[in-house]
Formats: sequence, C-alpha cells, structure tokens
Amino acid sequence: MGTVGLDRATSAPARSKALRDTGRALGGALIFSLPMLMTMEMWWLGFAMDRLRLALLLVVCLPLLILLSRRIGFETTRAWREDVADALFALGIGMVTSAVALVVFGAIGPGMSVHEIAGKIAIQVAPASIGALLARSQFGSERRGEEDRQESYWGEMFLMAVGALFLGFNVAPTEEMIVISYRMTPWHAVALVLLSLFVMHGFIFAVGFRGGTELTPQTPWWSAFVRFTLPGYMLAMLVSLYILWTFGRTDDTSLEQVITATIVLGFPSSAGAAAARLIL
Amino acid sequence: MRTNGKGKAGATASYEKALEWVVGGVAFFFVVVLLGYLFGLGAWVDGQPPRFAIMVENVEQIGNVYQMQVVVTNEGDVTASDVRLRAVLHQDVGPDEARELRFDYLPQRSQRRGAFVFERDPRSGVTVDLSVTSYVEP
Repeated sequence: MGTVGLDRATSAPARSKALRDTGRALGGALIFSLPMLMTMEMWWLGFAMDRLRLALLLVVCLPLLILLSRRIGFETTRAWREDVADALFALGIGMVTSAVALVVFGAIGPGMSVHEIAGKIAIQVAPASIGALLARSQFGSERRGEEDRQESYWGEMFLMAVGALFLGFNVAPTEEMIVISYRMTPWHAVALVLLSLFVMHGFIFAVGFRGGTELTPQTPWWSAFVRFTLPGYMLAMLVSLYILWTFGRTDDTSLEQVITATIVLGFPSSAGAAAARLIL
Repeated sequence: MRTNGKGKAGATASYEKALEWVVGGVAFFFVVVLLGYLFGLGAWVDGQPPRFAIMVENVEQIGNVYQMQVVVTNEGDVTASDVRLRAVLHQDVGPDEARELRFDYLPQRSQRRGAFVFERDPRSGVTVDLSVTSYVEP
C-alpha cells in the first residue's frame, strides 16, 4: 500500500493514492467488523475478559497481519518491512474504526473506566484490522492475476486458518453459540462434525479448481479430502478452541462441554476456512 | 512446493508431497479420535438430570458487609439453565437473612462461581443453609 511512501513522495498522485488506500482500509475495517461492533456480548467481553488473553490476542494479530499482507500484497517482490508497515497501518485503522463506531453507538463514553474503554476497543481490533488489510483485495481495482493467486500447500493452510479465525470470531461471542452446544447430545455433535466436513469438502472442491491449487478435476476426492479437508477441519477446530479460550468460554467447564462448544463453533469456522479463497 | 511446477521440483516436491500426506494422516487421526469420543459419550452416558453440589469457597469482609463466595458444580449429564441458589443465614437473635443468586447456565459436570452478600458474618455463631431452588432446561 502507498502508506509507507507518504514521507517520501508528497506529489499529488501519491497523496491521493494514500487517501484512497486509507479510505479503502476504513471501509474494509467497518464492513468486516460491523457485526461484532454491534454485538453487545463483544462489549461485555471488552471489560470482563481476562487481560492477558486480550493482550495475547493482539500479539497474535500482528504476525498474522504481516503474513496476510505478504500473501495478498499486490507486488510479489515486496520487502518484509513494507508488510510490517502495512500490518501496523491496518492495526491502527482497526483501532480508529472501532473507537469511532463504539463512541457513536454509545458503547463507550464518559463515566467509563480506561480499563473498560481500552478493552472494548482492543477486542474489536483483531477483526477490524483483518478487514482493513483485506480491503484492498476486496475493493482494490488492482487485483492480482490468477497466476499470482497460486498458493503453496502451507500458504493454503494459512489462508484457511485466517478464514476460520475471521468467521469464527464473528459468531463466537454470541450467547447462542454456547446455548446451541448446551442443547446438543453427543449424536447431534457427531452429525455436526460430519456436516462440517461435508460442507468444507464441497467448498474446497468447488473453489480449488478455480484458483491455483494443485487440485484438478482429475484429483480423486479422497486425495483432496485427506490432504486439504481434514487438515483444514483440524485447523478450524484449533482456531475455534483458541477463540473460545480467549473469550473465557472454556473456564470451569467440563471437557465434554468444551469439545461440544468447539464443534459448534467449528462449523462456521470450517466454512470460513474452506471459503477463505473466496473471502480473502 | 508445488508438485506440478516445472524444473527443480524433483526431490523437494516429493518430500513436500509426503509431508502433505503426513499432515492429512494426523488430521485423519484427530477426526477419528473426536468421533470415537463422541460415540463413546453417546453410548455410555445415560443423560442423568442435573445434580448440584454447593461449596463455600471463602468468606471475605468488604467494608461493612460479608461476601460468601460459593462454587456450584453440576454433577449431572445435562446442562441446567436459570439455576437459582438460595442462602439463608439463621441468627439466634434478630431476623434471618435470605439471599438469592442466579446463574444463566450451568453446563454438565462444570462449575460456576458467585457470591452472597450478608450483613452479618456467616462464619461466627450462625448457620447458613444453601440450596438450589430451581432450574430449567436450556
């Protein structure tokens, strides 16, 4: 993005590009984080959740953004420091967007402690900054060619993890997520695991041919299933568990209940992982 | 990394390919264990209704009131919601102090914490009766 060039180039085109990039990033942050900005459980989590876990979430967010910037950047021969700058820029945009939206919604205001305000903004930063970073691949006119979108196996896995994190984050804070798991029997859970795998495989098979993966119509279904769907599902489950732990949903809770909640969150997460190529 | 790439692919490509299958194998094992665990639960857990165990964790004086922290464990196989706890502090002289506590959810074999706030010290010369008065299925 042109932001790192701000101090170097002060010409009018450079300025307008920087402005356009910032506008795109703000739009992306807003679109990606609006569902969460307008969810009251997210506000509650902002002041109730464990501070160390909140800090860890931000710490995890930065390398994720850097890698994401590297994956979806326009130029393939970018320097790492540009990706770092992009990631920091996205983080900043995420914070500004969250803060402004929360003030306008009256979710933060006078009479609240710094602890509460900081928490409410911080928890929104992860999805908002991912949105800010993705904005250029979504809104950008300079989409990379199909050739450039070819991914290595590990790059594919990384995108899956981001997709899982993104969709998982969207639904994880809501109370419905755990209520569903409370109402389920083990048989419901089995059915949901199978359904998640089925949906995931459908996405991977359909989307895989379009992009640059090594999946071709000649690839036998079981080969793609073992190499992409199953690892993708395992990733989505791990990401789901991490999100649940971050939100304190695993505290003082039995293993059985943790597993069921992870399976429930794993459903949207796995769909997000499989559709990552479409979203990201 | 990509097996259909041209040129230097060779040994590295087949190594990468093997690694993909190893990852797939680990994931396969993970899903099999997960499904096995769920089948086990479904077959051997008989869905006992919620049973509650209440434990007093500690009593703390904060200002001129006393907070009695309790831990409630649901020992059944089913989640209970809207769980209501009642604590009655009986005194030799003066009226009883009755307090209520409500948990939105208490999942199976899980714990939740809460506190009753009394005006008298529940540790000295009084008895406190703790009970779960009601719950509903989620």
